[in-house]
Amino acid sequence: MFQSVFPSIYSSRHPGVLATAAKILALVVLSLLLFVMSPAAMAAGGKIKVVTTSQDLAAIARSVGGDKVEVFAMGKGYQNPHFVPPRPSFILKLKDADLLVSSGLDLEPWLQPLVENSRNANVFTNASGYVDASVGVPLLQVPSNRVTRQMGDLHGFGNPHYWLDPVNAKYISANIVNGLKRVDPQDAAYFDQQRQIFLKQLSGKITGWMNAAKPLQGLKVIAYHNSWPYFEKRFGLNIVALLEPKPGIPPSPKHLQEVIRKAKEENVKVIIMDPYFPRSGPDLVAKATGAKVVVLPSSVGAFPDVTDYFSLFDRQIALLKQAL
Amino acid sequence: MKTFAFPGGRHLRLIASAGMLLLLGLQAPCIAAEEKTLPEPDITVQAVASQPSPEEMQRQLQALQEKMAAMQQDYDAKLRELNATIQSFTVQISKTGVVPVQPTQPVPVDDQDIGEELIFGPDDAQAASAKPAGPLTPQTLGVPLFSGQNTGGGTYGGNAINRQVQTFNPDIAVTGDFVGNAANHKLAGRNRIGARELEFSFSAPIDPYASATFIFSKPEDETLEVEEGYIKVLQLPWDLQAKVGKMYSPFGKLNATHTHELPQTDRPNVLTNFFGDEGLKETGVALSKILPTPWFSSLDVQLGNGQTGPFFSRDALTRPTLISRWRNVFELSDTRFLEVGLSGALGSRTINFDTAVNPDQIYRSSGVQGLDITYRWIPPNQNHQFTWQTELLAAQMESPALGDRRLFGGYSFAEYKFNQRWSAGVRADYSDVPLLADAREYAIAPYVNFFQSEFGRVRMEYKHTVGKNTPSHDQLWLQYTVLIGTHPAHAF
Repeated sequence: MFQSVFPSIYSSRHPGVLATAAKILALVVLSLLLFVMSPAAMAAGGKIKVVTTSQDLAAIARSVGGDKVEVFAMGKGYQNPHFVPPRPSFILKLKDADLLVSSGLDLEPWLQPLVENSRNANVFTNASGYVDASVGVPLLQVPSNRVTRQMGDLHGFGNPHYWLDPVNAKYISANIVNGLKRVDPQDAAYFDQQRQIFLKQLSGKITGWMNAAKPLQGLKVIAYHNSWPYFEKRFGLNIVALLEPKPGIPPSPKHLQEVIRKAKEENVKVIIMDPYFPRSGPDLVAKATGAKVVVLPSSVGAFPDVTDYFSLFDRQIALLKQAL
Repeated sequence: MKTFAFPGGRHLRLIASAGMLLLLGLQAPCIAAEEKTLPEPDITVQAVASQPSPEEMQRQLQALQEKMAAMQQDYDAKLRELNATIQSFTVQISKTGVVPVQPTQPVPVDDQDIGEELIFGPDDAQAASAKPAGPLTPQTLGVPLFSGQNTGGGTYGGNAINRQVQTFNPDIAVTGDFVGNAANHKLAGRNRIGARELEFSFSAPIDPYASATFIFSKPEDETLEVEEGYIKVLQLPWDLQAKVGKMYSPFGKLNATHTHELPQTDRPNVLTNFFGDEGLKETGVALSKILPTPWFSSLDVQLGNGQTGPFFSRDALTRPTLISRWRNVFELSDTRFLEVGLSGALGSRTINFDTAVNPDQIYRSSGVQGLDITYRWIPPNQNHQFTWQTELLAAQMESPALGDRRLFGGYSFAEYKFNQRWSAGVRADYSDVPLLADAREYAIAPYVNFFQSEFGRVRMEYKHTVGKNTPSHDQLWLQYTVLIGTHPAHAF
């Protein structure tokens, strides 16, 4: 007998159905009470809680939000932005968030289930607390044909690595400021002012980077993943081949041979890659061609010392110039 | 006389009537306001009633002409104003690609404020157009042929959205799970290649408040069935979420995993012995609550009919099945995660279908409890990963034939991912067999995965089973699983 195991309501020896029903109800009410115990989320020091999908967006959000915001980045710069592990703690962050800033363009398929479980309708897609940072950005490589998975992880809206052109920060920052104004209209003027300061600073930096990148004009490089077209266009590089045969598809030996042939033909001296890809393919091509492998930070946070949006480009350009 | 019956008695009727009155009351000022804005008739009707003199008519005509001229001027001014606004919008759109929208939507990006000349290099619009892929073809070097410039796939602010994906169709996915089976005992299945399961899934938001998921499965040798079909209410008071319908019950770590997503080809013995081939699955209502702890802690409770044999088969809410799971995820560091869960299920089972003989003795109580522990290591680049997952289950069942039984079972597996494409692991099984006296199974199963891509996987698994009062045997599976369409991202 299992008197000790089964509560009396479940003892099949006593079939008092009504009494049983009442007891079940009591049990349900009890469990509901347990549910209700959670206090409402407390605002931390009255700051706007901003959650972003990447550290790049977080850096820009910090710049334009100033001391009015508290920013948390879910994806880290050393992670592939397409495949960030959807940690359950992100659900807690989203639950309490006032503003969610995402990269848009289907870059982050891991985001939607987290948002759906956040119990925070304010950050659901297109709600007032949701920002798609890509709005307005002039996109590159927008497919002209229907996209299928035969093309690998090709993005239907266009190449989503748009933060790698610093000029695009004007759109990103505008989108974030618009979001901040929606959740905190009183501080609208402050956010506008912060954005002006950020853009002025950025403007100066861009002039500096363009000057510094003059030796990189026309530099032929091979890239691992197709993450660099915006960077290429802005700083005048020339990406002649990609190590991935198709986005997200690891290089096959045959494809590597083709890249090596191409690299020799074009006399390519530099191979660039994001930090999260395996080194074996690039190293193989480097060995066969004498080119140098340069691991470039493709996001803020990719290296410990790349802590903001400005140091990202400082570091990229410095690393590329070192490789010349 | 009762004109319409309102369910719920007098009080509800009163509330409803009050509500209608309130609505009517709210309507009234609107109507009044509308009336006020109607233009007052300028031409007096008395002119028709009493015959006016020609001078009078002349004067009236003149007044009318003056009025018309004034109106025309007014309209011209308004038109000019509108034209100017449209003009400025067009300029803005051509510059930024952003359509200015209503104040409830975001304010457009203003190019004027960022010192464009300074930070823009060459003509941006031109530079943004296609970069020719050079002599390389997409076939040789993976640079797709691109064309045109878009202004974004974003959803706010009027970016050109790809029409092809902007439909109200649900996300649709089809999974094919093909398994070749080789075994040296007939209980382990025939030696053949089969389409073990074809799965069709549809999911979409219903409206801003809820989403729906319908998953149909066609297991080989069975008819098409509803594998899951539920509505998920996304936000309820007290941070609750609710699910209504047929769904995998919140019990343990692996139970809710669909067959094609299992970490090994087969479900662990303990889960198939205790919950059948498809796991513990109930039609009913489930509530989910995130607990206010510093780590992620959730409590899920489901009330079901009792449809998962051999423990829960009452199939009525008279004695419902109650299932719950308390899940905790501890993030030990940025790369190491520990998940600990406690689960419980309580219900009753049919032990006699002959209801006429002895109605009191037809159902007997049963219960299952579970502990699950998962450790995961996910380094930054994710090309290597390690998972160790263990579940222990205990069950109690009242059985007149076998006596009251206490049953135990568990499994444990460790899996290591070597690189982007390969992973391998080994699982150990132990399980009592519920409906056989003094019968249990032990098994060891090593396996290898090859990930062709995110959407295709090939797996080989060998399983050696030793049984006590059940047959011992060996099995070898070769499995090819593919997915087409849009499938929701996997849970952590």
